[in-house]
Amino acid sequence: MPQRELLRQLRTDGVHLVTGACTFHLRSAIDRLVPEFTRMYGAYRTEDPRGIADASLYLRPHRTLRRPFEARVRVTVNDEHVLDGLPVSGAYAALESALNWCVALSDVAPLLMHAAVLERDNRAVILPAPSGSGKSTLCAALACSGWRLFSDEMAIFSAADFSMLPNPRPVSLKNRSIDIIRHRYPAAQLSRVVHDTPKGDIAFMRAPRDAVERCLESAPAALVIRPLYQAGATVSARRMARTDAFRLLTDNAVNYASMLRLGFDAVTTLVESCDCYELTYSELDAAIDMIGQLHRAHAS
Amino acid sequence: MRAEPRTARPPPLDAVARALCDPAATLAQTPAQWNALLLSLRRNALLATFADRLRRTGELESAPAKAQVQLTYASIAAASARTAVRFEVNRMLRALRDYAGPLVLLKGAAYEFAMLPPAPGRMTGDLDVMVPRSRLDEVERRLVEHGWQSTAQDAYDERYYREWGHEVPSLLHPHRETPIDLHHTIAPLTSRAHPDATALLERAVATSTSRLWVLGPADMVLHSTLHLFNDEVGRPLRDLFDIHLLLTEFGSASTFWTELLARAELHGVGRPLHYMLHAVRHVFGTSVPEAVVRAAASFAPNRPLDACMQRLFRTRFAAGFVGSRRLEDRIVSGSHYLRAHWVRMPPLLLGAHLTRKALRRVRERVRGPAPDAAAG
Repeated sequence: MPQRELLRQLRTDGVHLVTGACTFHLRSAIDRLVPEFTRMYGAYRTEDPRGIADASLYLRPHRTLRRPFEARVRVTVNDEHVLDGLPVSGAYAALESALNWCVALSDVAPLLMHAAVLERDNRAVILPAPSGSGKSTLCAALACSGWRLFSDEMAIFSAADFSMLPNPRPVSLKNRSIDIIRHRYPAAQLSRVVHDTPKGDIAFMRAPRDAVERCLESAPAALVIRPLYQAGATVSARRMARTDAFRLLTDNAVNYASMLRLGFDAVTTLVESCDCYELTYSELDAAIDMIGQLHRAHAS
Repeated sequence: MRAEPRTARPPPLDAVARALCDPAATLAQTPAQWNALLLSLRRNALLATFADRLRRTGELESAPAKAQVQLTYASIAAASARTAVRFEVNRMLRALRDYAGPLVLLKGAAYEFAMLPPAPGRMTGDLDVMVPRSRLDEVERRLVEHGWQSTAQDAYDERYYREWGHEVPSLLHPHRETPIDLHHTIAPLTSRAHPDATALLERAVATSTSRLWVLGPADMVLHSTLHLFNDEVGRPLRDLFDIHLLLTEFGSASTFWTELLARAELHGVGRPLHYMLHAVRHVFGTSVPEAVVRAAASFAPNRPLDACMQRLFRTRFAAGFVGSRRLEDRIVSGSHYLRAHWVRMPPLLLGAHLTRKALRRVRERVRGPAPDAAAG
């Protein structure tokens, strides 16, 4: 869609952006969002004719009495919730943050988990870890090394058979990771760096085209790998006991407590059908190799 | 009172009210209408309620896939909330093992344990319990002994609740998230309404769970009405729908309506009853005998005030009201806030109280929230 047309639509009825398992209704009164949004989401489909959206977002500039000259981005979700905080120059980062929030609060799956998910040969790897643990860097690296990106942040499980549903969105990189990825993968498309956010510097790596085009193709989960970054460590993988894996998954699950039996069944199925490991690493190359090995070992 | 013929009312106008009363009709909607409806139901905490009603018609599977997903998970979340309330009641009964007095559940917990129509799909967030005033201290003490902690922020809060209110500051157990609100009557002591707590307890009805009681049908409806019209509530439309369901359930017994009017007189809650009957008929087309509406009108204020209040309530019960930033809605919200305080305490006390609350808000904004009084 040409930028002019996108701008017009965002200002009026909005667009239905399909990221995979989720569809978002987006409206924006902040024009400077559009170039960056187009760069990051240009390859994604917009639903037309429109179906039912999982969440509705509206971005606009907001001024307060305390700061009459410095407009901030205000994101209103579902006409009810309000997310504030970043200056208008960081509108794109605010959008990504709001979209993360929307996925977490949406009812799109019986289980949502803080984890990166990538796939190869129709077998998905889940990397559960809390924010700030380095999983995004590893995820970005894997996505640039032939693995199909499902998500860098939120694992989504199908209600039918607990297989993984893709929802590939730009990978968020913080602080040092930005330079690492830029240096290792010069071909990767990165957004502008937003400085001075609560988490430091943030930039986003565009999802590879292949991942976006196949964003509706699910895959069964085969491996659960808990990434543990440890400066100076040699790479090693330790098999996890099922009970520990169960604990790991529920600890990182967002909606486990409210999903009752369905959530329990999902985690149990995962633990029983996947090989579960703890991966300690300091070098990205070694980690990627090891994950490849574990993945191949699972097949046989 | 003889059973009066029910007047046919035109179907309610609001899309949410229509969807709740006739769920199967929503299947013919366009995706845009579905989007609007689902969003509206969600804001009003009625998504799971609607899901339940659609499921009962056998048509849930005919809804579009994405709608089904939202409705299914809303139902699961509501089931989870029910489990939490049931568990809290279970823990409470254990703690009150040696207390042999009455335990009367109120509001959401009452609907749940008496298996009343508002229960399925309802997201009840706390446990409201009424006990005789003479036993209040004892019950509170036993709960505190078993680990519950007061959520009162300071000494002023404590005094507000105990002396002037009709309840103890919420008790929350650190291991769980469902607060218990202990009441000894159903309206603040300083308010214009004067519910007769002894009469309430006398007419309480046993539930199928031993030791747990609920208010009699007329009292239950009046309590819900009083709470909805005289207190600040988070989801007015949801609470009005609860009352619609209760009236439909209880209304088939002709003695119910006589009781309702008589008890309204006894407890001094005729005015809210009058407002409620108009609102519930307007929004949901509830069947109410005309004679009852006329009798309740004797509690109405003067015509201009009545018209003004009804207008206010109509805005409040619109599906788009919750979370709305429109000026009209914010004015109504503010007016209701003031009125809620106006009806619960005499003017001088009210002035002092509101000033205090405003000052506290300013202080919090400048300094950050006060340290948790219940910590440690």
